[in-house]
Amino acid sequence: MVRQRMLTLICFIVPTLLFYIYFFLNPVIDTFYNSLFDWDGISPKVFLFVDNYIELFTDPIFYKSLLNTFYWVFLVLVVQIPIGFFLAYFIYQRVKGYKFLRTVYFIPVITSSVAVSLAFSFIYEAQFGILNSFLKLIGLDNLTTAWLQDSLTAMTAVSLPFVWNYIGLMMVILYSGLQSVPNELIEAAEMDGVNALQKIVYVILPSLRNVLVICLVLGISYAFKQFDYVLLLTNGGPVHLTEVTGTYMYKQGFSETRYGYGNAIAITMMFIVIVFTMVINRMLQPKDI
Amino acid sequence: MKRMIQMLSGILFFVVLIGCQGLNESETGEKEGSDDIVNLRVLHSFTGSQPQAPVMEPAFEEFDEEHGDIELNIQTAAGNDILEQLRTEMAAEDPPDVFTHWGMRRTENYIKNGVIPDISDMIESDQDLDGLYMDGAFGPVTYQGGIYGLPFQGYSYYLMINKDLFEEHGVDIPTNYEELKKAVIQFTDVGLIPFAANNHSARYMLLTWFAQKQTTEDLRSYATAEQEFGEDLLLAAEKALELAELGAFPEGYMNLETAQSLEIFHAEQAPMFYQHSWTVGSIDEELLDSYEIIPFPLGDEQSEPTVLAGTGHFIYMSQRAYDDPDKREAAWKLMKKIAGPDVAKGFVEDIANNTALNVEYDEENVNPILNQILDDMDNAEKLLPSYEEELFASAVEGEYWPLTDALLLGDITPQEYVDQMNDIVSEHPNVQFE
Repeated sequence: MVRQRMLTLICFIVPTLLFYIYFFLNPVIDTFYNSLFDWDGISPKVFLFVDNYIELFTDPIFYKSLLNTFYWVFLVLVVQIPIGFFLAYFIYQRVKGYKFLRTVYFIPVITSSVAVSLAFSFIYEAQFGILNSFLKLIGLDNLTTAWLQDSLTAMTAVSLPFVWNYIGLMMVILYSGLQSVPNELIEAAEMDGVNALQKIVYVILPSLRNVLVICLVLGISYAFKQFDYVLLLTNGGPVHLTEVTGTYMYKQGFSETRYGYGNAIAITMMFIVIVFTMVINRMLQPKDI
Repeated sequence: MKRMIQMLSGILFFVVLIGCQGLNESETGEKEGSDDIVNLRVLHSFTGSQPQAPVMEPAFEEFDEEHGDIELNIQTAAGNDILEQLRTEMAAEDPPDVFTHWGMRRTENYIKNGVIPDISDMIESDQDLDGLYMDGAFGPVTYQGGIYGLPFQGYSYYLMINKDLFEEHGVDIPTNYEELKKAVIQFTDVGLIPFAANNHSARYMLLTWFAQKQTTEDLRSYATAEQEFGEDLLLAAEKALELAELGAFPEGYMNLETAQSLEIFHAEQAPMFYQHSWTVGSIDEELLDSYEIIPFPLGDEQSEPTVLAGTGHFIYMSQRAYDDPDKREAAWKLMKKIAGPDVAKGFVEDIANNTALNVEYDEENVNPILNQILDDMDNAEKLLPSYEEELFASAVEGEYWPLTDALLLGDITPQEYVDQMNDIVSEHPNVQFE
């Protein structure tokens, strides 16, 4: 009986396991393997061992792109998740039309990144763009600039579509977390006389710790994965000013045909995200999930 | 319940079986007698809003209709997207049989790795091609003695001005750099953007000032690292940087698409436009009366009037198609069609693009701006190839573009630019002439 049950379990596990090995482990191993070679996709591969990694760690453009990616992580932490939380809390208050608002806030998540980039390029365009035209209209001509080229604004400008795009996702995750906060806890706190801010800081946020970990991990991995907004808005330029690790990896792999080097960037990015995730998990030990 | 599951399983099995069954010939749209038909997979980039699409797409369709024994399976990747598309297919060892692409600067790796065949013998033995192409048209596809593609599109850089804006603001048309600088200052003073430019235009200007002091042999010797860049490139770089610092280019010009920069010109916000000739077909025809082509201003007293022009696009067959006699013959027919006189005439008359062929056309049917550009080329004292279209090794391009952007943004000095250009070229010298 036990043996038959084991057999049934194995039958259920094997297809998923094979699927996982073929579609996840196999590409990761393949990426790591190729990162040890100099290969342009056509010529025979030349084994370099760790030379691609040595080059990577002395590559100033990689460090610049890594710094820009960390800036995205920073924006996830200080803008995306906080705004997502306040939108979720706003809806959680069951304000009038909250279902409609919930849908509206989530729309950017399901909007194509190409469409979002196009919309933002119309906003930022230096000559005829909405932002500069608006600033001129209200007499703030001195604030107009080439948003995607100015070294002071370019990185923030190219980050905004990404931040805006995923606020809705953070909101939905946090909203589902808020619904699981026991009402008794909130009522008890209110009876103890907490104000609105104290209620959030001392009652709600600690209750959302596990959900916040999910938001952080998702936000950080998205920050490392994203490259479409940069590619579409600036292509990493001018002069790598807005380069992020995703675009740098893509360019090295597909534009410069240095597949080995591109794979080395991918493996390094994966390693960094794993380390980040482990640190976050360690710092905010999940309890219930 | 059990019977129902069995029935559903039976239906599912039947549906899968039908789905897996191959389509018959009439359903796939294949030509009759398909046993004798040669299938060619074609990849080209002239589709959608590409200016060349109105000529190229009908040409492929026409060829397909004209040849009952050849079936074209056409794939497209618009504009620069073809770069990644072709690379991926080549890396997957599944190259298209026939494809369009730029010259050696973007095919060098394929040629070196033997995935594009040397077609010199086919060209030599085909009398239809005698005298068909302009002098030097095969330059960008000639690699270490072999010829690897047939040319069909030419290029030239042209300086177009809006005469009305020059007249309205009392600005003289510049003939040299000092006059150009004066014009730039005058136009910025009245709130106009002197050049409707993006970073490509600025780079073309730098290349033109440099070329005004060179011969083709000089240009080659720098590209092959036989000679180091020096004073001439330094002066050209200083001029480009100075113009950028004077505000000659629009705000955000580094990120402007070429079509967007042309819109600034159309909107009469800028009186000058220096660009690649593929843009001519996109010029607003209603404004043509205000526009004029003028020679590019001379850099200094040692400079000579120079037009950068040559051939930019080619049609190739893959080695795999070449190895199959039937496919080779079919591919060759298609290549001759695309790089033939009908398409060339269409380029000049219908889409206002330069061609690589010596072709007869009716001047009255040609866009007046292209007519002026062609006259400018005919009358030029020097017609030289552009470094970035023809002479730099493919590995240089990836570094040379951002380096020039860095110069224009003031991140590096003109001297650093020259030094770094020497480093790049010495690391990746052009070896096509060996």
